[in-house]
Amino acid sequence: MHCSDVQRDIDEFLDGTLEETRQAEVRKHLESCDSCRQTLEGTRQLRSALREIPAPAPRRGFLRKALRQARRAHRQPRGAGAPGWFAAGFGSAAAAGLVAWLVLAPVGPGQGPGPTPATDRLPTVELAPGRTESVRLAFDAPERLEGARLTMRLPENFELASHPGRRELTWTTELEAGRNLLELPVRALAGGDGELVAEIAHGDTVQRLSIRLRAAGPAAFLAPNPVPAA
Amino acid sequence: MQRFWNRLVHGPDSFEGIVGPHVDHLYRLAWRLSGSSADAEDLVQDLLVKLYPRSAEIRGLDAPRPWLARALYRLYIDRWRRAGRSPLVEAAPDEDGEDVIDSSADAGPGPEALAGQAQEQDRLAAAVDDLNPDQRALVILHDVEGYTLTELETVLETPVGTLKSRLHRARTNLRQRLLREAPVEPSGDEGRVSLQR
Repeated sequence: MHCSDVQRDIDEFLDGTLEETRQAEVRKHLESCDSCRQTLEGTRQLRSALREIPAPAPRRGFLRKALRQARRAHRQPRGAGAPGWFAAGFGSAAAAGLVAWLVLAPVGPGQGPGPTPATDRLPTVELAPGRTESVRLAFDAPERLEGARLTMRLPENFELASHPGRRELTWTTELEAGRNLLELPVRALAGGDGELVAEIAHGDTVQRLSIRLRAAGPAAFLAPNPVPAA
Repeated sequence: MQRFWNRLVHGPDSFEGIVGPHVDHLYRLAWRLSGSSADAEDLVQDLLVKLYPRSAEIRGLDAPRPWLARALYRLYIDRWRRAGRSPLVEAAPDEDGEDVIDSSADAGPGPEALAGQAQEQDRLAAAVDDLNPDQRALVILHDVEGYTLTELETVLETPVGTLKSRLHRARTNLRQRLLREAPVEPSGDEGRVSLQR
């Protein structure tokens, strides 16, 4: 192998993309060639220096806004108003993907959580034990809310598929003015039902949205191997 | 927090869950190519709108990052062309032809040594910006952002051999630009100067 061969392959050598035999040949040449070793080290240093040239991070909120914009650009035109079942009130909607709304109406400071609807009127999502289903919650914010604190509490035997074993999650986020869709990947670990509570706190205002999760099937604990619904 | 939101809100298999983790990187790349935050935002926004219907395709990719970089780069080129400018310079045969690498091209102080003398990232960045557009794009993608030549064969739709030659030529030009603006004379020990901060 000649020096010109090594110089031609030097970036692939540093990238680690040379085929194994070629990589070995270059390595062998480098062991006996001061000039190529120096070139290699110089190239490595230049690449390292170039890699340290800083670039600004996107401004705060850009990521979410850009993704939202992309989604909106392809959204199908919707009919006027909310879905019928919602317009009729919180009845039972026995389908995965049910969307529950919480309108964040401006309320006076210090006002506590709004009343939770009677249990028998809660929207209900049926889940098959062991399967992850999307439970969608929509929050209508009257204005952009920064620093909103969201808490999700799941009943026993249910978990967020993205956070196995966790039944409560709290995080701070921004809500855009208008509709904010929250899609929760919920998994039922066993048969049974319970109440999922979504709580939003912003300033002195706390509001809650509850829905009923119902998993048909055996009451036995399903982890680690999910069992399809009977 | 936003990534957490995106993955939680839309699920890991959603467009947001698939593309969201790459957006910071795409923005950075767009900024390096376009040189402005406003242009970078526009580029990334346009890209996301174009990619949205292709969520399933992206989800099936083993290595989405080079694929996304290629899409961004093509969009960048298209914008330049529409604006009546061309970021790509037709390469002269002796510039981008195959097998033009020769050891004499590296004679004298290397760009790395000169960059080491500079010790200033802004000088290095300015020298990169001063390269012709195709060399600049290659240096940004390979040396700055760390794409391998194998990945760039796809991103830039150019054979690896041509990329090697172009990269070699770009570094020679980089060396010349740094040499022109070098604040001090080479000490003779440049090859050993560490560029690490």
